[in-house]
Amino acid sequence: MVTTATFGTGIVNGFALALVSLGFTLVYRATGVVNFANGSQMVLGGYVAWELGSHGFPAWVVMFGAVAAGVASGVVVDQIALRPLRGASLLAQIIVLIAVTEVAGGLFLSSFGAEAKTMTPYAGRSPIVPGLGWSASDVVLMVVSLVLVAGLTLVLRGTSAGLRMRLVASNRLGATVVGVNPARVSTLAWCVGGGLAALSGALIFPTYLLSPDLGQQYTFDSFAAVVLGGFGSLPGAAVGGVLIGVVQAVVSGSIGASYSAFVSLGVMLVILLTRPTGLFGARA
Amino acid sequence: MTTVNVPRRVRAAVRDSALPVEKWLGRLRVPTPSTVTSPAGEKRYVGSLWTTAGVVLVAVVVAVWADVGGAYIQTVVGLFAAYLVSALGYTVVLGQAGQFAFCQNAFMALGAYGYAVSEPRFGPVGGLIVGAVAATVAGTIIGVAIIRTRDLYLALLTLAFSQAALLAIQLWPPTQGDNGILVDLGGDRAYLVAVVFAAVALIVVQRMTRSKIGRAFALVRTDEKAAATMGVNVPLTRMLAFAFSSLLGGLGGVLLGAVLTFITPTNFTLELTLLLLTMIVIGGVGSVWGTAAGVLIMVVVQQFLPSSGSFGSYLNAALLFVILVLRPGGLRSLVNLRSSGGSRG
Repeated sequence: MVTTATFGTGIVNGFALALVSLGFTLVYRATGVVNFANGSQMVLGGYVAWELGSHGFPAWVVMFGAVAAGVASGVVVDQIALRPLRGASLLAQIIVLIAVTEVAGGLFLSSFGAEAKTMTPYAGRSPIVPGLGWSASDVVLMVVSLVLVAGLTLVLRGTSAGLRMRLVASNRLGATVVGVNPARVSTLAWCVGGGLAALSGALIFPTYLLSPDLGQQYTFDSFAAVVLGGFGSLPGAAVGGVLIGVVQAVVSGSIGASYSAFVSLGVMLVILLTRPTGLFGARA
Repeated sequence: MTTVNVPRRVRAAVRDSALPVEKWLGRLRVPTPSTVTSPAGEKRYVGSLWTTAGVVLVAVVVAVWADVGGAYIQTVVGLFAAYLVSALGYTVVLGQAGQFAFCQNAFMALGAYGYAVSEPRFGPVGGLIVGAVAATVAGTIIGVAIIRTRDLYLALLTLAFSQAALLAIQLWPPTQGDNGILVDLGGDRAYLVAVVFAAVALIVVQRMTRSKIGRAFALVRTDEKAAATMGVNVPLTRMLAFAFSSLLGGLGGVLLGAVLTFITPTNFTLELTLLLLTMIVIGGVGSVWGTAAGVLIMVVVQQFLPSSGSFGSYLNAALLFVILVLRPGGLRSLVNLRSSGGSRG
């Protein structure tokens, strides 16, 4: 059944995807590395939030804890996994990041078990927007997502930290010449990216079930959003996320929930075949 | 002899890894064929016949040893052979053709399930054909679809494909989803079939590396523009690399299923690709004998791991990481310190 509520769900899912792809895009913009472990960092945020929430901590502590864990995971990935490989081939970096995902999945499984977890929402679960069926949590999620997209776009464009990040991504050597330390910028980007991914996990999982193997699915979905919107463009990622969320909701409403997972592959294939720059991307 | 000057220069450039792209490929060094072009006077490669005889001899010895060794040895030998077939396919697409593919697990799953579903109706030979065709068709479609897609995009596209293919298999009623399905290929003799296929795969891949298509793979990996300049059809070559690796992946999947005798989709998760990656990275990406060594090492190591838990995937990840950081060339770089020596692979 496809109703207005289907679109409502799709739009919320889309903003969730946009939120996930923020960290992804930021790390890419700043370091040129595509973070294959992004989904895992997000699930990590979800689990930390679940753990803290189940001990009855207030919402701000839960958020703070999740972000701290995400930042820590960013430091770990950057310093331990990627630093020894700096200057190594792209393939080596991809392999190591995929390995990180696998290890993270194994750790989640052994520490939290395979069964899905339900989290108590920070705001109400009952619908407050009639028709679209949005609850207060959904509205919070969308507002945070929009604010972060706008905020990060401005940070990347307007602040010196953003300028340094873009400089390092576009020309590492040039950045060194003008006195920017690429290693420090890269660590910064991984910290912020990890924190964002974990924050998105903490925000999203009260709406969805949380299970250890979700990381990959979210990585693919957010990648599809980024490809659709144009690689490296933050507003593009948001638009792509919403589009994919809506298509997924419609597919799952009309054909079946299991089939929505094929949407991201289909979108990726179509976009990469026809318009590799995406809807808003300037460069391939 | 002025006509051979240009190819020679290109050959030297490829061999000395002086092209920027080779530098970009960087630390994951892969063997470069010693004969990109073969002008008159070039020492012809004469080892192939002896290699073939050697592989056949080893295969016979292993088969006899497994035959008298009992069920456990037979399973381990069967696993080794099944992984070897898949890993050889993987090392061709990833190491020799330089395509960032991460969907070998999906090809294996398509092969195994193609066999398991069709074998009751068409018999073992028909099942093998269905399994191989299912995987190869998927690989060829991927090979066509990636025409404008490279590197990072290719990696994520193939990862997404592997996820989607596995989900499709899980949802398709005849596969019985998570309940699993029986695979019967020669019953207890499955390991023999696997050994035969592994020997043939070794010989074929080893010969292919030095054939025209093998050299085309190496050129496409090193520099697509240079390859096109030398008359290589780049899209076709990339497609062939995927088709070939999916064919071997599908056959390897059938054999893995036959050795395990019972499969569920969880046998073919991304962890399987990671295991194959560990195998070929240990041996040196793109190297044929290195792959065989890597598969042997990992299969032996697996016998000492606890059967439950995630320890295996931690070990895979740790091994991958350590090798990529310390010895990016894999075992091959320990044996042959000069990179040109790797072309014997």
